[in-house]
Amino acid sequence: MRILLILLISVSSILSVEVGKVEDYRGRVDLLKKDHLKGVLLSKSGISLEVGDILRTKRNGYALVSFIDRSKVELFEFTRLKILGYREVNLQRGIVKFEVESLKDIKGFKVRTPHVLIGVKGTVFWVYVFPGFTRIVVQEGDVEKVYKFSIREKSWEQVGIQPEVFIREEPFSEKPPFEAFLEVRLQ
Amino acid sequence: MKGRVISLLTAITFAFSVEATDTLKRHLQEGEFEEILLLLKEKRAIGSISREELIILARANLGLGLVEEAKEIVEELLESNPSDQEALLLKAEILIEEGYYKKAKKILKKLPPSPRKNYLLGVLYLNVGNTSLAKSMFAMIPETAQEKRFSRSLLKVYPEFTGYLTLSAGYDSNPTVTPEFIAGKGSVAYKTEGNLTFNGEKALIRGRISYTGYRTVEDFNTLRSTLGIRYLFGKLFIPALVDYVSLGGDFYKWQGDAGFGLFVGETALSFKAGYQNYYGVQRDGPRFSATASYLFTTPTWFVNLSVSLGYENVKSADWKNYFLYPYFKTAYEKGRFIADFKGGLAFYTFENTGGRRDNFLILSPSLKVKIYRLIKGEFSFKYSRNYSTVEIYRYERSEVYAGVGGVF
Repeated sequence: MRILLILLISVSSILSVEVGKVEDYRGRVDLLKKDHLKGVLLSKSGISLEVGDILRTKRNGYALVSFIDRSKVELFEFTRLKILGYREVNLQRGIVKFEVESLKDIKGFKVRTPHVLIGVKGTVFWVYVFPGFTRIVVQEGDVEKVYKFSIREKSWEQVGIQPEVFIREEPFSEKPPFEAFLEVRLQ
Repeated sequence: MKGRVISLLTAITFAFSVEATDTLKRHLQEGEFEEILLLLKEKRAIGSISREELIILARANLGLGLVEEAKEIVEELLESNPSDQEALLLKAEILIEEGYYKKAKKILKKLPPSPRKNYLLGVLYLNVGNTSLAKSMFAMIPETAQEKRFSRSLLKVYPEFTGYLTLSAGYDSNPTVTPEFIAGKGSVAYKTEGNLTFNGEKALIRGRISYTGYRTVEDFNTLRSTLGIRYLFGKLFIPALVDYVSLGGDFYKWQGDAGFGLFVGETALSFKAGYQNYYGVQRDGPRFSATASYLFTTPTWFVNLSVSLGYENVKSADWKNYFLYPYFKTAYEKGRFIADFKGGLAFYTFENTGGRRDNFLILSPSLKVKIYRLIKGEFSFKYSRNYSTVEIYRYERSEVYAGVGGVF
């Protein structure tokens, strides 16, 4: 099996071979085949995906793609995913959940976005692409973290801090009770 | 060659179609950028492209990540009309894409209200970490606009529910607060605190409950719970806060405030009215406050500055209290460490009490270290001091805690 997969990796980028298929879909999803000028709406599951294909989900659209290595990719609405090769995709916009199978001796799963290249091995993670940033939320396989990539700074930053805007340590919440308590005790 | 002929023929045929613009708009809405390029690239080359079609072409290029091509079109549009609003919106989007937030904000602020403007401003604030302001921008987008759905997708990056539990032990130099009562009697303290946050599209609800037990002064064991709510209506919001404290079961007090607020630029203004109730003492009455809060954020650090002006009217005790309360909070995250610092000063004037005046100071630095996955080690110090013209109300207090906290 492993030899077969290594062979597939080697040839997938140069030949039109199936690297995965659309297991399930809901709503309107279309497929723009390599060298085709227009996308075709999916009408059944099981459509095979080849290198160069672009899968596009519309409003309320959803698609579940399985790759040959058993990695799974879920596309949510308004998402564009281009198949670049076996275990390599380009997420041009939208939200995608990846469940990547870890395989020994085989390179990790690569996700390109307009801003960054993400390489992972054996994990569950979400990628969000929107103007200016790519954010990745790692759900399993490593720590649950949110990272963003800045084009301008060309660096990753962990997104973690959220300010507590409206609950504050207020002195008039703390001081009077004790003051009042003293009055009670002294009576 | 064959492909070029096909696309040229398509473009010429398309140029005469009466439904041409509608088709292009539909392609744009559906994210079918390749189809737009197919229809418009050649049309542009033969010079018969309209302004509206150029904008659609630029947006399609941007959608495909072809930023330079999009930029070129925007420059062309702005050259012929420097106040072209659609072109300026596109320019702002390109600047956001490149990370030039200040420049993008400057352009967007000058443009009239539109769903796209609010969406881009929301994205901009989200990119710098100001979620509350981003949400307020998104809340102003009408339900029918496509940008509403985009904005909802973006907010999914944050979990709706977050729970955080902390267990810590430490030392409190003066849990009884007033030295005259139990003079400077410190105690070992054990504290547990739980926080639960709901971060919805419009509502932000944060609940906090803590219990502190003291080894030597059990009468002062403290239970405190706070519930804060903020609900957004575009630039307006409703803030509400309920706070309950009880000491050793003998004494409790609660206070509740609610009101309305609005965002003016990046400052949140709020006006609240409420009531306070103290069990056992005559200090019940209405309270009013106005707060201005400015939040500056980046994804790894933030500064929140606020000033409150308040008034309590306690008729039963025959006194009134005016207070002024400047407060700040800042935090910085680097690698495994999160350092935060908060502090405030409060000035009180009590009427009908023989001219009593209090000045209150609170300083509280803390450090969190990520230990494993979502578990953190926490070290905190809090210093508070009350200066009063009446001696019995003067006190000083230091609290130091070390503990462990984690997301649940």
